[in-house]
Amino acid sequence: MLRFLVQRCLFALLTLFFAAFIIFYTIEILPGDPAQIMLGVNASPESLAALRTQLGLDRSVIMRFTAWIIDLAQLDFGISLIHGDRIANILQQRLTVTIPLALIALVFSTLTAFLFGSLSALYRRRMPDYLIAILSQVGIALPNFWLGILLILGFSVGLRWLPSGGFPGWEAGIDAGIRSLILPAIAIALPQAATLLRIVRTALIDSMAQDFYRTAQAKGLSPALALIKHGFRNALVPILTILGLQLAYLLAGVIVIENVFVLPGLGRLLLQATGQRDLIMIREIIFLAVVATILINLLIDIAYGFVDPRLRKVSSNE
Amino acid sequence: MDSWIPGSGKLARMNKAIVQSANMTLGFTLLSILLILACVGAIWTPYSVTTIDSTARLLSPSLLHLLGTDHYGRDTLSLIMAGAANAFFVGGLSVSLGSLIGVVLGLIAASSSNGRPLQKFLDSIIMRGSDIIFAFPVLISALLLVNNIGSGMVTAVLAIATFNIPVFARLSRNISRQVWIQEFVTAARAVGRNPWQITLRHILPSARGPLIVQASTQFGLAILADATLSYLGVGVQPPSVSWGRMLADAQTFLYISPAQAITPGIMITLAVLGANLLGTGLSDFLSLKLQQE
Repeated sequence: MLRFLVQRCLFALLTLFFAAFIIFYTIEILPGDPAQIMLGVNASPESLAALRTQLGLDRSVIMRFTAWIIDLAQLDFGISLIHGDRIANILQQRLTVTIPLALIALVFSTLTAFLFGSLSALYRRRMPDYLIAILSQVGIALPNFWLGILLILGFSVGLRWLPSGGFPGWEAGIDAGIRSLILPAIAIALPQAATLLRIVRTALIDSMAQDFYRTAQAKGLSPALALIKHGFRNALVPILTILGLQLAYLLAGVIVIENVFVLPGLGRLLLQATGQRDLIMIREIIFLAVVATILINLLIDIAYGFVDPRLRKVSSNE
Repeated sequence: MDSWIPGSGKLARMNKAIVQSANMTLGFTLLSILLILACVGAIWTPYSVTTIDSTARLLSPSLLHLLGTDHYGRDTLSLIMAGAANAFFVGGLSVSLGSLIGVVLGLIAASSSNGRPLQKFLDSIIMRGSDIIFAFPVLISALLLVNNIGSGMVTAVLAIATFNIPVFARLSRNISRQVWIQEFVTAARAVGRNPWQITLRHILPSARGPLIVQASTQFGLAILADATLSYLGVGVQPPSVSWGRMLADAQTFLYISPAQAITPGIMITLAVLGANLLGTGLSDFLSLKLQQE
């Protein structure tokens, strides 16, 4: 097991290194002169030269890449030219929106998936099961940003219960902050739950077919109680691995939905930086997103290794 | 709705067959209708989608404009048709491109995975390369591309195609490796066929079914991704029409004309639903055929 862990971690580091090079190359080398891109075509030669020196463009490509990696290893994200502030500070501030949003969405989607997944398993091959199956198919096909717009239409434009976008800041009170995250979290969570509830259903049906479940029912527990007391615990292992999948969806969901609801989080920052051609900022956020993706893939890999020892084959590529 | 109806027995099998064919029929019908709409929309729309008519802005549905008009006074039905053409074009092109490259890489990896050390190394390189591409979600690679080639259809197609390469490379490699150890392949090697002949004659036909199923699902995902990219302003640019862009515009005028925010979303959902249903239907059909054999 230790060998498996070490090997997976090394592979992940190697992937990260090459991914970092791809990011560096496509942002700083491929488009031509980064200084020109950031300052636009009307920039004076003096300011261009100054920015080139500031960015260290006079050094060789290898030197620049190495310097970047060393900075990253020290968690030094550099300075944004547009914001004139340390990127680390800006990221930290934006994360106070993105992380709560992701957490609320995670809770919503997990609860929804468990509720409908277990209903589906309990009423297998009966009306509720078929109904949930149809809802799940539609939910998977639903674009999360459209769901966001529909929620705004229903709960902000129509009922006027919740804000249609924007974020008052946590200074305005936790209450107001959470209120503006509810609709975005639902928009992220529902399409995700539609996929996950099927995995919950399959896992529960598997454990309901086991002897201990029948024993529990023979002891006089109702189907629902037997499911809660015994079914869930035994379905937990495959369900833990889908939590990993959740995180991967969340990453993309957060970027899109923050832009639907104009929330000042990391995803909004990334799109703004793209519009402003703030290359350093784009480079750092994309790097973080890729780190997150690789980390999530690694966790899923390791989780599967725990669940099924046959998947721990060290040398093969599967 | 795979594995939605377990159980054996004649009745259960019949039941299963009905649900499967329902999936497939519904998926196929949905996609066919949308495809016809897209084909027509590519050459003809009831009104021009590039002409601005300031006297007909944000109209409600009427006999003249069945779905109303947008903030430029363009007919919504015409926009939906042009948007369908865009969605099918981007979805089809990106999945074709990604699957073509991915399948070729996967087949090469599989055929070299049990060869000499140097060939095994090639297999590792291809699979590790897939891992690296897999670390870039569609949206992230699109934003990387925007810095180089700007926003537009090319960016959307390239980003979605890139995402599809490792998906198809892994799938085709894993299926092919199972076929490579079959007896008839050993026999073909014994009579002196080279790896390319074996791949074309034996490996590819065996992998065809699962690849088509995957392509159907990926097509749905591609349409979803294309809509998301154009909603965010990274994909197709005006004056080209896309469903995602229509929704972004509609959101601006949500308080004045909420109806505009409905139809494009329904279209995206139906297209993705159709592709997913067709995929599950095909997959069930194939596994049923395998059972019968």
